Amino acid sequence: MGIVVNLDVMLAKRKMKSKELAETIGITEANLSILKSGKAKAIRFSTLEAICKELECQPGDLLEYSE
Amino acid sequence: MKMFGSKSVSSYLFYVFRFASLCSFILLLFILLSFLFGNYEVQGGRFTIPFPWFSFFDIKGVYKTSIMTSITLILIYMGGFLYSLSMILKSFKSAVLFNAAAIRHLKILAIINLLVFPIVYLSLRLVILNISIMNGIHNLILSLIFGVFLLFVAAIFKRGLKVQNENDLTI
Repeated sequence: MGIVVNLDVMLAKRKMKSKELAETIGITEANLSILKSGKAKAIRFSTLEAICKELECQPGDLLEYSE
Repeated sequence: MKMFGSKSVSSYLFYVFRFASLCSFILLLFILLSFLFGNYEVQGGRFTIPFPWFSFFDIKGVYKTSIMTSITLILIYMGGFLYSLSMILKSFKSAVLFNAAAIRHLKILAIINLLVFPIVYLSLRLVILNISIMNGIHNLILSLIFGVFLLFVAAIFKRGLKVQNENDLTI
C-alpha cells in the first residue's frame, strides 16, 4: 500500500468540500483529486503546509504509512 | 532561435523532410511507371527517362535489371528514412517535448539505421550489384554509429518522460 492520503477523512471531519479547499489553498480541483486518489507521486511542503493550516491538522493526520 | 514547439527549427525542418520524403516516393513512382509504360529511351546500353518540363533532370543509367533494382531500393530506403525523420521532428513540434511518440519514432529511426540500412547496403553490394562491400563501407559504419546514438537519445527521452510525469504528479 505505501503512503495513504487521508485527505477525504479530514475533509469530512471539517465538513469542508474539495472545491472549497482547492480554492483556499490555491490549487486546481483536478490536482486535489489526484492527491485524494493517491495517484500523486509527491507533495510539496508548501502544499502540505497550506492544507494543514486550512484543515487545522498535522501532516500525520493527512499521511499514513500502511504495509 | 527556438528549437522545439510551434514555429521553431524542428517545425520548419519537419516540412522540409516530409517534402523530401514525398519527392522520393513520387520520383520512385515516376521511374517505375515510366518503365512500365515505356516512357524511356535506350541508347548504347543506357536508358534515359525524360523528366517533364526540365530536360536537365532527365534520369539516366545503365539499362540493367540490377541497376533498376538498386535505384528502386535506394529510393524506398531514402523515402522511409526521411519520413521517419520527419515524424521525429513532428513530435518535437508538440508543446510537451518528452512524449511517447518521440521515443517511438526515435527507436524506429534507430532500427532503420541499425538493421534496414545494413540489409539494403549488403544486399545491394553482394547480391544485386555483386561488387565489393569495402568501397563505401564508411556509409555502413556511419549508419551504425548514428543508430546507436539514436538509441541513447531514445533512452534519454524515456528518462525525461518519467521525470516529467513525476513532476506533473507533484502537487
